[in-house]
Amino acid sequence: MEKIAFRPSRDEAARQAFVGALKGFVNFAVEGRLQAVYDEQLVPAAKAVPQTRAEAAALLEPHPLARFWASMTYHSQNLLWQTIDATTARTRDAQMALAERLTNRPGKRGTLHLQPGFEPPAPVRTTEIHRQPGGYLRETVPGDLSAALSYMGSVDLYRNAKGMGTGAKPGADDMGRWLAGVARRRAPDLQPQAILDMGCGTGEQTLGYKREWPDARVVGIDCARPFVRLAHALAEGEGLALDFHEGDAAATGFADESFDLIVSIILCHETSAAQVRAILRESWRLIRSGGLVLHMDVPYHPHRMPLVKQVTNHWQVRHNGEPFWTGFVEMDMAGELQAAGYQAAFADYEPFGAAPYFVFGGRKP
Amino acid sequence: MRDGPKPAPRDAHFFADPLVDDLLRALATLAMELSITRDRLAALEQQVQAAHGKPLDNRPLEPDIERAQAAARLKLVQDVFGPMVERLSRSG
Repeated sequence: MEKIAFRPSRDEAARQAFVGALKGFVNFAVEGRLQAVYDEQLVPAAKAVPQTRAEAAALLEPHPLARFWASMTYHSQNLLWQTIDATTARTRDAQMALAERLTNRPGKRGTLHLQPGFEPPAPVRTTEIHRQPGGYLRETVPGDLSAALSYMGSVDLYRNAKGMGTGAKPGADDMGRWLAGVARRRAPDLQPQAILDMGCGTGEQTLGYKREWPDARVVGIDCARPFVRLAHALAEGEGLALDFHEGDAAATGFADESFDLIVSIILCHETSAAQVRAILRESWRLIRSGGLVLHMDVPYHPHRMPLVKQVTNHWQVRHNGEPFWTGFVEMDMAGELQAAGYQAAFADYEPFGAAPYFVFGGRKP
Repeated sequence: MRDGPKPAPRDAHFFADPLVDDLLRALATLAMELSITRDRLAALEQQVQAAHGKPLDNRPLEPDIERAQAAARLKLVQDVFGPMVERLSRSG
């Protein structure tokens, strides 16, 4: 059966691989030199050793190498979207036609629930996250999959270049299957019958949960209509029965205690603190007795990072489409879980490849 | 159908003279195009050597060639931008 996929030509793939190499160079080689410049030149020459991110930024950001890092980070992001969107523009119509065939064929197995009149929450409605042109919502033709194809093509490249991935190609379900393993370790006796993937994006990882628990009902929810539309076609192409809903993870509309595993992957750092609190409350409302809530997100907490990394991360907040990185990692997640009523709560780290990820949630007694 | 969010700027600059940012962007683009040309040439050479006859895009590269390409790609980035990093590390 034909499958939905991000399909760069050989030259497009070569451009995207170059962008990955360039981003890796900027993220590691240049940032490494920035740390050395800070430690060996700037701090020794300073009147006082910086104690805060703001003090370190005042010292570091005017340095020419920091300006070079900023310019190259910014330009590599422009190149990322330029190269990804070229593939999307060339393949969109064929992928949309394929999606139409897959989702209208006899014997289709899953469902897609769109909400006419649904108003997506900010910041997805108001911000180009990752500086993706048009953001996650833009549609220029009926049934538009462009935003979803570009997200699908970029997410692993972006993750791998930050050293936060395992070298996976677009469409891989490795992160979802890894999180399934985390769930099994944290709740060994849990055999989920109903699984909710909050902020499921384009659905690759949601499909991974279905592969891990084939007998479970697996539901994905995302506020971006192009994303759930693509996720539905992706599942149908794989012959997997999943249900996808357009909706807000903070106000899903599902019945109380209707799931026994609720997961999310890098959802909470893409939104405001108020929205994160609402998502935590909603997760706890939806989880059944004995069930597990397991959110996973970026591990960039200040107590784990040198000041230079805090400075460069906060630059990404201001200039590079990561508006909530800093705000998210400055939340006291253990305190937030307690305030949301969680029991058997946890907020700690799990390794994915060479990178640690932040996992938080709880198990309802 | 929905509009997306208001477009973010695409032309921010971080050096006092924006032309420096523009030159860096141009250099990155040139390096990218050189990189894909080299990738394409390596693929073509493999194809010629194999004398296989299949369309180029339908023939995956051998893993050792893919590894060599990845290393060459990283070296190109280092060669193009490394000297600037060295100079800028010493300035300020």
